[in-house]
Amino acid sequence: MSAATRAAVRAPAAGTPATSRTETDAASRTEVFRAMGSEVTLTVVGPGPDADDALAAARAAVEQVDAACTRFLPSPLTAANADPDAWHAVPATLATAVLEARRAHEATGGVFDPRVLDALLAWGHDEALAGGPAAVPAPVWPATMLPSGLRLAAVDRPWQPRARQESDGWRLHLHGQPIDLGGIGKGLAVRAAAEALRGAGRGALVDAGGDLVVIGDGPAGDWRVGVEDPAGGDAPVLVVSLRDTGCATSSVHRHSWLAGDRPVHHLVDPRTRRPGGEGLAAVTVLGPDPAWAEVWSKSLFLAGAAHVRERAEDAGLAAAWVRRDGVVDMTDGFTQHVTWRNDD
Amino acid sequence: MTTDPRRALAALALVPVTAGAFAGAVAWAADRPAQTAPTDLVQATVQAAPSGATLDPRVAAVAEQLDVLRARLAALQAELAAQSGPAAQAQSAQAAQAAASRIQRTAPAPRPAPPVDATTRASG
Repeated sequence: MSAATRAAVRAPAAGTPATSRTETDAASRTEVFRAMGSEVTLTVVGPGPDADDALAAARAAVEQVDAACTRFLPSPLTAANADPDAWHAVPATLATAVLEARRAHEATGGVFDPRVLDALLAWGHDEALAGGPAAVPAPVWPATMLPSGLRLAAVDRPWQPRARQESDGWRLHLHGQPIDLGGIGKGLAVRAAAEALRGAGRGALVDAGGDLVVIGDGPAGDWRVGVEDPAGGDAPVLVVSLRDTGCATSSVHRHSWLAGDRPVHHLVDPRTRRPGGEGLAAVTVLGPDPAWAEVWSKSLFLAGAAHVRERAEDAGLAAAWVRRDGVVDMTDGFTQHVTWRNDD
Repeated sequence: MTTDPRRALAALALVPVTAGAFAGAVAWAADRPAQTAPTDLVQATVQAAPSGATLDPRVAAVAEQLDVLRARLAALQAELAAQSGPAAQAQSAQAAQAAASRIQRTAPAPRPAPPVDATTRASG
């Protein structure tokens, strides 16, 4: 049994049966349910006659991505991960997700790399997520070896998974290593749900635990979105005014634990195989597509405090970041959306 | 004696108007031929002004009244400065101090966060 499969068996936090609630009033309709280990909120403002159907389609889209891409329950991804050197028949949702992840890998110069799964497991991510011991054992492996026993050079080469559509469906080859789509999966789900909600009312929101899309009008004009304080404060560090855009945050706030006596988090740098982003606590990126906002928020986070601005400006991103010392900074593209900041 | 500063200022504002009217009258009178004035007034004024062989007595009278008004204006200005000036200065200083104090008290507390429709957070 591979490490990925063991993780899928023991982690109960994600993929749990969905519970939901619906809130309806004259001004909006909202559906809240659990998927991808998060609470997902779908809202239609000024609902039109098709709003209910659109909400149902949006929820189905989220659950479809979750079912195809989760590694916490048996899924097409866990099957492919179990034998990453073989071709697998997979649903279109997983095939297209892997192809999008490959594009992200190439666009970020390899900084976005779903192959960090084995390092993530070695650092104890899944034990921590499942509410395991306060401190998990620190991984020990030779500097030139990966936790899985592969030589480090094996991940130095570009990741080139392949997918092709045949007469009876899609085939996928993972290029030799198990992967984690956690760095893009939610964004893809949010993207699909947003498409389903487009035109269902005056405005719409898809919020999957921080990865979100806002469309058209919010309840009171533009959508007002708070940027969570990664230090755990009640107040956001920023409030931004948004319309027709995606937004994603990578933060160590909810996914930090102790490996031995070392504080670690889930944002593993594929270049070092260790938790990265030195000096940063969170990065938020705005962009037209939520999946790419998620990709870039993780990639910028791994640039660390010393290089995050340079990387964001080189890529032309609207990004804000919070340093470990609490200082908030941002690019000009982000500043124009800010309506409130905690250090005003 | 207590004087309402606003009334005193209103009175002061009227003084230049009145003085201007008198000055206009003086200029008008100076341009008029002397024989057009009533005889009784001319005689009285000439007697009161030894050097006024060429001075219209009405001009002299107006000039005298103007001098009185100027003196009254100076007196009012002095009175106003003595009564309301220091008080106003003190009042201004108090107001400035109170404003500064308010600023000092409120500065450390950041503006409360406005309501939001959603929050972007660690997405996992």
